[in-house]
Amino acid sequence: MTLSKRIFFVAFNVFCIVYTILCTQLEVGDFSTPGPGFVPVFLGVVGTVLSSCLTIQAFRQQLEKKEGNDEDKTSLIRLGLYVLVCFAFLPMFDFLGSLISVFILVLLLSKISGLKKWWKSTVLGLATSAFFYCLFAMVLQVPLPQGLISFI
Amino acid sequence: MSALTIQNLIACFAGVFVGTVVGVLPGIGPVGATALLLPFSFGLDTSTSLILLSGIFYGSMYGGSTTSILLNVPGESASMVTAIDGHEMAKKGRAGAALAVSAIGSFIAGTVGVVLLMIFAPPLGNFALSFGPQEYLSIAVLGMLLLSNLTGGSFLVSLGMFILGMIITTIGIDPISGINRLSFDILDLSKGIEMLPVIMGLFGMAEVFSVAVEPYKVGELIKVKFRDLYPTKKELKRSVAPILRGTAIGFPIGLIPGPAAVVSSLVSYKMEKNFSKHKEEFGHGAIEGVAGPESANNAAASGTMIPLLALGIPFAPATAVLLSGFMLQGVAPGPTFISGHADLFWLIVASMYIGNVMLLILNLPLVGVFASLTKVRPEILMPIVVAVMMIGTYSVNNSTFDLLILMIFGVIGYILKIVNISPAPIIVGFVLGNVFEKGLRQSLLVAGGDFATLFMRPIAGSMYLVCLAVLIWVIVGQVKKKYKVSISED
Repeated sequence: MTLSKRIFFVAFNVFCIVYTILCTQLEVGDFSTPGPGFVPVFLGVVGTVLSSCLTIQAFRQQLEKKEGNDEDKTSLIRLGLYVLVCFAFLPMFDFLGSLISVFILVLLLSKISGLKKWWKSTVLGLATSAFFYCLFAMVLQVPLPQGLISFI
Repeated sequence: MSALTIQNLIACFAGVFVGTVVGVLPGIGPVGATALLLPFSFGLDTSTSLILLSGIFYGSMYGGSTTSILLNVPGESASMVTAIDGHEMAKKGRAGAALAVSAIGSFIAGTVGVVLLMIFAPPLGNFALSFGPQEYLSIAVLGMLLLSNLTGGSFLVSLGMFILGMIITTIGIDPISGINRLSFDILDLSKGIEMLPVIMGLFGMAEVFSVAVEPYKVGELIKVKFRDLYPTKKELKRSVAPILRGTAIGFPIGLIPGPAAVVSSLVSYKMEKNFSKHKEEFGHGAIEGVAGPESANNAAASGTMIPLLALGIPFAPATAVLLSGFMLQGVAPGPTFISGHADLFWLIVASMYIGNVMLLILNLPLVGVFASLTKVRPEILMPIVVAVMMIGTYSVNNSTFDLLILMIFGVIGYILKIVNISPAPIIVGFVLGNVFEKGLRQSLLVAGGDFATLFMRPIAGSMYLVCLAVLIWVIVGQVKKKYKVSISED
C-alpha cells in the first residue's frame, strides 16, 4: 500500500460523505414515488460505505517506503508547469482567440517538455495553430473564438 | 450500395488510416484515439460521420499491435499480450510474419465478428423492444457487478470507481422531474457534465501528464522489408486454429461489460498456451501467441458493437465514445435504431467489412511508416495532442466549461495512474448511471414501491440470478484467497 493510494482513498471517502450530505437536501421521496434525491442519496450511501471499507483496508496494510530523488523533483516541476499552462489556456482561449492561444499553448508546452531551441517551438506552435484553425474553422466549419483577431 | 460511394469510401479510409496512426502512438489507445478524433466527424453528414467513427475505432485497435511487435511498446493495453511473443519474433527476424499473421487474424476475426453482428444484433434489437425499465435496471446492475470483477484489480476499488461514474451523472437536471441537482446555481453545471471531456480527460490528458513526468523512450525500431511480410507455410498452419479459437472467445467476451479487448486477448493467450504443442516457445516467439490474442481482440471489438447498436448501452469505454459520436449526429442507438434506421445500421455494418479490408491492404505495406511515427519525440507530439484535445473538446458545445472539465478529469486520471487504478469503470458507470436511475425510478413508480416486482419479470429475474452468482463467485474467491494466505503464513 503506497501513501498516495491511502490519501486517495481518504479523499474519496471525504468526497462521498460530502456528496451524501449535499444530496439529503434534495427531495428523496419514498419507494412508491422516488424523488430527484432518491438515487443520489442511495449512491452517496453506497459510495460512503465502500470508500470507508477501502480506507480502513488501506490503513491496515503496511506502507511501502519510496525514496525520492532529484529526478523526481524535476519531473514534478515539469508536471506542475504543464498543468498550470493547460489551466491558463482556458481564459486565454476566449480572450486571445484560438489562433493565438493555441500557438502560445504549444510553444510553452514544447519548451516545458524539453524542446531546446526556441525557433523549433515557435515553428511547431505556428504550424499547429494554423493547421487546426484551417481544419476546424474552415473545413469542418466549427466556430472557434476569434478573440483579439476580431478587432483587426 | 451507399457504403461504396466515393465520399463514404474516403471517410472509411480516412477513419482507418487516422485511427491506425493515433493507435500506434503509445498510451493513447482506441478510447483516447476515438475521443480525440471524434470532433473531426462534425460537419459531415450523418452516414459519413458514422462510417468515419467506426473506421477510427477499428483502425486504432489495429495500430497498437504494430508497435507491440516492432518496438515492444504496446500502443494500447489490449496489445500488451501481442508484445510478449510478437516482439520476440521480431528479434528473431520474423517481424514480417508476426505483422502479417496479426493482420490476417484481425481481418478474419473482424469479418466473422461483423457476420455475427449482422446475425445477432437485429433479433436482439427486436427482443429489446419488449424491455421495460425493470430490464434496463437489471442490465445496469449486472454490468456494474461484471465490470467490477473483470478489470483485474480489486473488486471493491472497481465498484467504487463505478459508483463515482454514476455520481457524476447526478449533477444537472434530473431526467424525470426536471429539477436542478447539485448545480450550485452554475448554469454550465445545470446542463450536466458531458461524457466526451470526461473520457478525453481520464484517458488522453492523463496520459499527457504521465508523459510530462516520465517521457517515454522509444527503443530501436526493427525494420521490416516488404518481401519479409510473408509467413512460412508452417507459421500459417500453426496460426489457423488460434485465429479461429481467438474469434470464438473474443466475440462473446465483447458482449460482456468491461475491457473486452484486454480480457479477450489475455484469455486467448492462456488458452493458446494450454492447447499448444510448442508450449516452450511461449514467451520466446510463438506465433500462436500473436495469432490468438490479436484475433480475440478484434472479434471482441465487433462483439462490443452489439450492445451499443441493439440496446443503446455501451459496455466499454471505446463504445461509450462511439455512442457520444452517434448522439452528436442525432442518432440514438438502441432497440428502435435497427428497425427505425435500418439504412444506417446496414451502412455501418458494410463499412466495417470495407474497413477490415482496408486495414489488411493498408497496414501491411505501410507498417514501416506507421511504426516510424513512434519516433516522433514526445516534446513535439504531446503539445500537439493537447491542442487537439482542447480544440476538439471545445468544438462539441462551443463551451470553455467543457475545457475545465477536461482539465479536472485529466488531473483525476493522472492521480488514478499514480495509484494504479483503472479509470474504465468510471466511464462505464457514467454511461450506465442514467440507465440505472431511470430504470430504478420508473420501475418503482410503475410497481407502486413494491420491490419484489422488480425481480418478477423473467428477463430481469434471470439477470438478477446471474448477479447473485457473480456475487457468490466474488465472495468465494475472496475467502479462498484469505484462506491460502493464512495457510502460507502458518
